[in-house]
Amino acid sequence: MSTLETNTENYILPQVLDLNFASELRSMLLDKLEKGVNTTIDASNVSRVTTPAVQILLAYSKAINSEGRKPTLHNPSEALKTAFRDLGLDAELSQWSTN
Amino acid sequence: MSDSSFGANELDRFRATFFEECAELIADMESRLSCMLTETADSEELNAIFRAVHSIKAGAGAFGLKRLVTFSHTFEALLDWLRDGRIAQDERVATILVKAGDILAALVEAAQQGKEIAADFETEIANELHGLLEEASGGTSTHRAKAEPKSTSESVTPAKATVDYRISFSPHAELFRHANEPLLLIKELERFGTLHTFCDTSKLPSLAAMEPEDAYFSWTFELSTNRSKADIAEVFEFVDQDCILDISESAEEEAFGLFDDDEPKALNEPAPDSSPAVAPTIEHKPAAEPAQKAQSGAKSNANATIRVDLARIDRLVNMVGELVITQAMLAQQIIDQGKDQGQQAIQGHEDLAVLTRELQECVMAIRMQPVKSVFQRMPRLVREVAGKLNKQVNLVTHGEQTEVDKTVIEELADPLTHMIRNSIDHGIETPDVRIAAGKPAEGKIVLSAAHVGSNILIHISDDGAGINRERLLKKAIEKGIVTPNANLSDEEIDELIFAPGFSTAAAVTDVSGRGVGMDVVRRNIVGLGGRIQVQSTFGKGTRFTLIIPLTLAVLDGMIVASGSEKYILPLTSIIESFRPDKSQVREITGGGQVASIRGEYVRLVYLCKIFDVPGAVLEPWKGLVVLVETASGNKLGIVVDELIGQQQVVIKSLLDNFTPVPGISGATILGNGRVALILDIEQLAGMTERRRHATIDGRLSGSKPALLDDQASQPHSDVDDGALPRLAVGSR
Repeated sequence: MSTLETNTENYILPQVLDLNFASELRSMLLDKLEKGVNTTIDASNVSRVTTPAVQILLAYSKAINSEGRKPTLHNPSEALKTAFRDLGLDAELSQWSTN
Repeated sequence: MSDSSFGANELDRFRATFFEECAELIADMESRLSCMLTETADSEELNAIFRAVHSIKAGAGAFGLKRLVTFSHTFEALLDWLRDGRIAQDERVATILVKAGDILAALVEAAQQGKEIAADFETEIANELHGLLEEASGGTSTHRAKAEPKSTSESVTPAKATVDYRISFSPHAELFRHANEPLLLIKELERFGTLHTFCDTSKLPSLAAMEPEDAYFSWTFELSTNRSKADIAEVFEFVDQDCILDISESAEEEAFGLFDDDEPKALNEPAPDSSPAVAPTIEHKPAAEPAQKAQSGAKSNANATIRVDLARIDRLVNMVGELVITQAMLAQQIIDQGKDQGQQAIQGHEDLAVLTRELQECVMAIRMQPVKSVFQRMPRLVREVAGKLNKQVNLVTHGEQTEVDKTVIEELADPLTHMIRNSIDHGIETPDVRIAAGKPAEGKIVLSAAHVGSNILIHISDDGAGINRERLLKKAIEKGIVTPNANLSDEEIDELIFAPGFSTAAAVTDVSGRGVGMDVVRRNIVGLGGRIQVQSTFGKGTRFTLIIPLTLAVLDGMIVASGSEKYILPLTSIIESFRPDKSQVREITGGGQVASIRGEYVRLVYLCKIFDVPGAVLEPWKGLVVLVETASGNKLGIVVDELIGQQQVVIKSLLDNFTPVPGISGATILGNGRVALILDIEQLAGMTERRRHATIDGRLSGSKPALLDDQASQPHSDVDDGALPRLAVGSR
């Protein structure tokens, strides 16, 4: 894994985080991770969430945690928070920095 | 139930029955959904729609049709919430429901025919359904508070004590790929009572190692509810092949995670494409086993059975009983040989004849079904095609209850689909064009059916642009279908739309315009023993009329004699018969003969020459000319020796026992046991007489003056069938 850099990028999640988007989401986050880019994930637009997307967000969050950092979520929408809560992942969501 | 005791034949039969039921359920569902576009559905309507979707889902689950199950599950969930009042009925919801109905019907059709459809075919509508569900579950807590808990099985358990359940749900990796979503299951469980959800993420690999479409989470739910275990199992009914599931009451907690020997283990057999490694332990079991071989062979049997009104069967059985008694009576009379035996036998035979006729009608009635089943498919078609073309079309149907033989109904679907598609594409104008022409923006297509004698009459009329004869003729000349100097009447020009490869569409679209439509329609209709006619007024609209016999099993025929042979002419084609005066018969240039009748010339066709019958009358003025009308409305004079009489004949297919014979559509057995051939008027009209006779008598195989040679050489051409004599005479 590359070293931490000072610059931060904003990644805006689309409205719909469904199975069709899962592969793209993983590739995107993996790319940020491998480049060591500090990324703020903007979840303000998200209106529909499915479990595959939550798995990817969680895997990303674990990877960031393993580097001693905290994943950052900007303005998570109600839909995203509800999905995490319904899936029993309240605690996992609380590990993200939110702004 | 295992494969060893449950053969592929049984499965195929059940599968065929399932699809028959699907067709009925979908027809009913579509009709109710269409009503929702204009009025709010009451609970009875919603329940009926829900039951239809639920039944389709259950059957699809039994046959391993996962895609169908998944979509209908979501559809059903929405309907359930709708009838609960958790989702309000409005135009948007109704539109989505109608679209969902269309998708469901298409998925059923694809499953039935084993057709591949695009992977994302239902995605858009499924997303809309999910969206509505999420809207209702996410931001509308007031709705949820008002909602009464209700299970999808409609079995609300009254005032039952609350029980604590522990549910272990471990999805297989492919859960998502089978379009299942745990969030929806969790929402269903939430409706049952108090739910605590614990997610096990320990199997989640690193982001780099994970497969984005695999399922890695598993869950333990603690649910306090007054619902039964079966209710809970039903929530997981359609994921049970994609997970390991255990549901236990709090008293059973110690057994949590293990198979409890005391629990009934109704193990679901794996679907054809799922892993058989782990068996789920859920109580609920689908009504039938998944069909490993369900996809194979069922297609050919799909229409092998029909469902019949019980009253009709009872009537048939009674009639057969009467027939047996009459037969026994006749036998006894012959044995007794009384002095008035002759008179009694005659009376007995008369009774037998009456009963036999009635018995035949009963049997025919069994096969009769309302055309509703075909008509009901059309609103969806209209919506789809009109939507694609940005046109506004209102379909009005009349006479859906008109009954016709089931075989005819099945064969009607394609021609009607073609014609309605064509009406929307070529007939109905876009709203702006209509408004400019002083018409309402919304076009109207009327589809009606009615009985006329032993035929069914179907009209398809539209208030569109009508046929532009000038353009049609120009196009026909450009394509070489008619010669530039042809003198065609308006009706003959209209008939050109049935010419093979003919299309006046300015651009080929995916709706129509490839010119393969109307000639195929005519062939299909003629294949049913029927006819199709078109009437059109430019700027006002077009009306197609289909005249089709009610059944393909029997035919009202006229027995005619030619030499020593007897043939059957379909009675519906016969206009009249006459013995022409010698002066009425004329030789025409290029060969052949025509007969003049009331100022009109009709081409004469000699059966004896076409079928090589020796000893037949060769002079029409010594025999008879039977004037018949072809599907295109053209007339033909068939020269025969004499008319024997009218008789209803049972049609026997030549193809089953012999090879196709040009000019013959089938055969029948006459009362004396001899086989008589049934004449195919359409083919006769296009046939030329055999060469050796042509050289002697008429040379009818010569040129066709107003038509090009390549067109004239097509015996089945919808343009040249029977058109020759009129065009030839007209051009002289």
